[in-house]
Amino acid sequence: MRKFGLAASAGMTAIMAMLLAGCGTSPSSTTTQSSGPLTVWVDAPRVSAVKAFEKAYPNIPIKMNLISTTVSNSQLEAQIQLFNKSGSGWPDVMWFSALSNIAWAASPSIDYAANLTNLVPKSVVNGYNHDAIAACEIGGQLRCLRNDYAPNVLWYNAKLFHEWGYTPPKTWPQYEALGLEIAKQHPGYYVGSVGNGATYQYLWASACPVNTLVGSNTVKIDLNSPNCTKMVNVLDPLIKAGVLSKSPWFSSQMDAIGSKMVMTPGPTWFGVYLYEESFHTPAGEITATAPITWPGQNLTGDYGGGLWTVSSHVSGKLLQEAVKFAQFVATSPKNQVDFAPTFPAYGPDEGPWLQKNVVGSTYFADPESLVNAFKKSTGMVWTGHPYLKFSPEDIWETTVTPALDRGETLQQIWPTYQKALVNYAQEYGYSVVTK
Amino acid sequence: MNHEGMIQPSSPESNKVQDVVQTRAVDPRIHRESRLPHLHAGTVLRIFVMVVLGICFLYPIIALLAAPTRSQANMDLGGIAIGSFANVHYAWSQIMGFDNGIFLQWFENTVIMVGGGTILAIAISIPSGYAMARLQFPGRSVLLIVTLLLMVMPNTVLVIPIFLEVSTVHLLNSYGPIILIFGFFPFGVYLAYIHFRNTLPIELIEAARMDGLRESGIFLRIALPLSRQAVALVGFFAFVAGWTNFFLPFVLLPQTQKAPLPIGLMQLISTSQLFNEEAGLNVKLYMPELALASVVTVLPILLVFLVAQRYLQRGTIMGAVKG
Amino acid sequence: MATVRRHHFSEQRKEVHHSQKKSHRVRRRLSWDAWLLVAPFVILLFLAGVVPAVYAVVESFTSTTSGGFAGFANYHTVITNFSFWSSFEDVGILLLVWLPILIVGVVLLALLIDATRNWFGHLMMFIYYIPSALVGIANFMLWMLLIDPTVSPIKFLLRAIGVKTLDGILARQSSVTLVLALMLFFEGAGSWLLIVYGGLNSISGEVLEAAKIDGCNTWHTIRYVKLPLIAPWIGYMALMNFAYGFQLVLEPQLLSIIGQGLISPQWSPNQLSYTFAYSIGNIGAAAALSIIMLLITLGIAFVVVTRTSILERS
Repeated sequence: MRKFGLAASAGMTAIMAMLLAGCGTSPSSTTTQSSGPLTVWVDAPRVSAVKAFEKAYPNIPIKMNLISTTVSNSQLEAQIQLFNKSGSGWPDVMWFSALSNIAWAASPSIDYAANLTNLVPKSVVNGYNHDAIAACEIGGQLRCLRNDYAPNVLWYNAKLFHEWGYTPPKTWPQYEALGLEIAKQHPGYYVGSVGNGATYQYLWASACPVNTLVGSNTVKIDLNSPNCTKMVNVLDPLIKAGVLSKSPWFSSQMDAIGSKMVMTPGPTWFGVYLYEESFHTPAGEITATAPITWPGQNLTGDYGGGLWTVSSHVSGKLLQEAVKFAQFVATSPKNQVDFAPTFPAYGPDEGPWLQKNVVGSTYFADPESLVNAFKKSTGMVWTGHPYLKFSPEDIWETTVTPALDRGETLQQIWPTYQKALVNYAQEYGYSVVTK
Repeated sequence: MNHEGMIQPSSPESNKVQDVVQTRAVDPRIHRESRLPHLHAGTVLRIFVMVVLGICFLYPIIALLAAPTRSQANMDLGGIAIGSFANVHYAWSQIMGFDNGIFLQWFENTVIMVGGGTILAIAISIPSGYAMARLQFPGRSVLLIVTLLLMVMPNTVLVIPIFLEVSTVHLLNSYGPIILIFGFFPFGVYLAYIHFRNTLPIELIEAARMDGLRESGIFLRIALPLSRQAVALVGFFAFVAGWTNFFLPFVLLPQTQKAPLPIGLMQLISTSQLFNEEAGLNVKLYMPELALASVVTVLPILLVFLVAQRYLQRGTIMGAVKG
Repeated sequence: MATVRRHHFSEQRKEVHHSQKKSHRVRRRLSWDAWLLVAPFVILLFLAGVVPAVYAVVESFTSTTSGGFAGFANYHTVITNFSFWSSFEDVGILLLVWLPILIVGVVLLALLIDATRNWFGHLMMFIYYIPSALVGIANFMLWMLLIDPTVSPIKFLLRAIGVKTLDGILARQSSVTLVLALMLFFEGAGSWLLIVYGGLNSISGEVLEAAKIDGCNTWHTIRYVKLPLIAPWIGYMALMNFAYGFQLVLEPQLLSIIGQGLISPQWSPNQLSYTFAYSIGNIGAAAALSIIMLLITLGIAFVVVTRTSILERS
């Protein structure tokens, strides 16, 4: 028991020592400087990109930190916001896994993403597909470099289509007609999903002004535009017929019905990550063809894609190294072709990537059709939807998805959704016009 | 309350006797059980209810424990099933494959910061709880009320300023501030306060004063030897609070290498193929792997519970202490 | 020690006169010593409690854009936000559902354990505690497993109440509330059981013996003796859990991840505060909302503290 007392008083002495020690230590290593190791924050799948850079530039020291993304972007935002408050601590280069992050990171109140317009050569920017780099061009400034790119194509099960004697639809009215036909002839099969924010691939393919920027800080939200309602008129009958699943794409419910997903508009990465890895559809069945369009509107939507940003708080040599890093990981074939698992946004890398990942794969039914579909879809993504600080996809999930689950139609939900979008836009400080 | 019989002779034998006497006095049924071969109908009902509730509490946990023994394909079938040890082994290899086994680093970090924080919480809570319970000093009642109010203070209020304080002294990414803040445990002070109020008769302290002992001497020689119970309880609750804390280390330790388990677990979850479909991660992190990581993360809490069980299950958190 | 104490008592009487003379000096020394004992706590209390609270108050009156004095503008921004009232409503309903479940449940478990003071009771206590170890992020996996009807071990139960998909649960506000209530109960009951059981355990044997002699049956003993005696602990539990539930962040967030965004990121007031602070970047508004919540919590805490005997129990 006496030992006990001793331990307690020793503990108390230690506290006092620690409190005093708090005043006189050296600055922490995360403080941004103009030289020193380059601090990069990436998520786990991007580690290979960092390794590739280290191999290519062995004399630029890198300090890598792994971050959580996708489900916890709000936490990342918290960290940057706190660094802003304290005036130090930012990473020099940072990976963002959602395109909507760039609007936040480039906004005046956050101002993390540096203006790269005069730092990245014009030739590099011009090498991008214009619709891929558009997400990074904010107010005429280049604020990021896009990593990967995910325009929508039409995925379908070639084996079933062949058995049933169907040809893949080219236009949305054909898509609707074929969907209703499948509902009648082959009940239990699906032609898409409206279960989460990915439903935007429909609305964006139709140029629906959900969040179109019409001034520097003014958003046009007009769900009653014919561009929106014509797509609602395609989707509602298909929902009613039961051929559009209400489950989110990556969920156990969806996996359970995956083998019944005979076709769907979807991004370039659906083939591997959805059909092969989640649905476990056998090899030799799945392929893709050109995106479905409206007659006279050569547009498609997209779903996914990450980006690289450079900190606006670095200068000098470190800034040069940071730009060199971002440019390397975003565009160099040593990363984009050799390591990147996703379809590169940088034009010159696309061909070799397709060669390696599509033609070189034994999974797809008709690799040639797939390569053509991918090539055709690049450049078709509708750029009328900028990425803003609020995400219409997230609002879809909290507003529209539950209502669909309750059995309402999109047409019924539309006014509620319009109101929710306006609310969020205003909350984030945008002025809103609705016409 | 009940100052008579508070301070018992401290030899273990008489202590045991006292316990038995106390137990019988509290619940005569136990006494009867030990004599009669048949069980009372009420007792049967009570045992039955307890077992049913126990199953309700345990069943989901067993499902979680069983998950790492199954394959992801088997998980999709639902229900509850026990798979094989090979699956556990595979799941563990996947966790260890994530960023070169950083999981073990996270574990070590957690042990350091929570261990330090818990010791500090004990070292701070016991003396202050004692002083508030048994000493008169100006500001005592204000301090008491502030302590209680701090326990209900919203975290959002605290996080930003604490971050700024720590960042001002350039101590981000070091364990010192985390340990200090884990050591700041108003609930522990409150536990210690209640403990000393209930177990340490004021007469005893006054008598010691008459003997000419200084207050610090009274604390060290009389109060401390009586505080094992409080130490165990404060330690236990501080340990659990620190071990499960997410936001504070998240904000104060931006570097993943320095992170504790809850942040690491969040990282595994958010990078897993379950949520990050197009990620292309080098390891497979599906339900069995994530379940295993969760189980390993919480295991230490249960171990500490078992170690502190004697004190926790005597349950005298705020009550009279018999030893 | 008991002998020591008797010895002191007899001496005490003799020395009363002497001690009165010394009393002034003793008291001064006493208060210095007392402050020495509480000093580390008080220092941390300032660093981690008072300074942050003062800072938050200052921030709530500061304009984030200009940095100058903003008056009540931040408060106005918060109160007129479209999620403000609905978030309070969400949390209010949750508290109405969850607090009674928690209080009744924990008291029931504590009474059962209290009546079973042997190895079996100890074992059951451990079992009831286990889910509490999963508090925080680890809870995520458990609930991801539990409420997804495709993989759930309680699939049969979910099917029985007509739930076939995860969305079927999380798309309805009422079932979200229920799931959160169960989640909170499951992770909190074990810890509070330890505390309330402690209260029951401290009831002296004589009191219970007296009740028995007076002819109280088990039920009467519980109703008229045990429950009134542990009322302060129940009050304490109610207050702490009110505060926790009112400031809820993590659980709806986890549930939202499980439900792939079905639950609004501004479900609870504290989540709205996080949105203001980090996503929108309006720290002043976040501070204002925190202060509003702090005032409500402190108001309720103050009433509970002054009206009950949580602090100065004798």
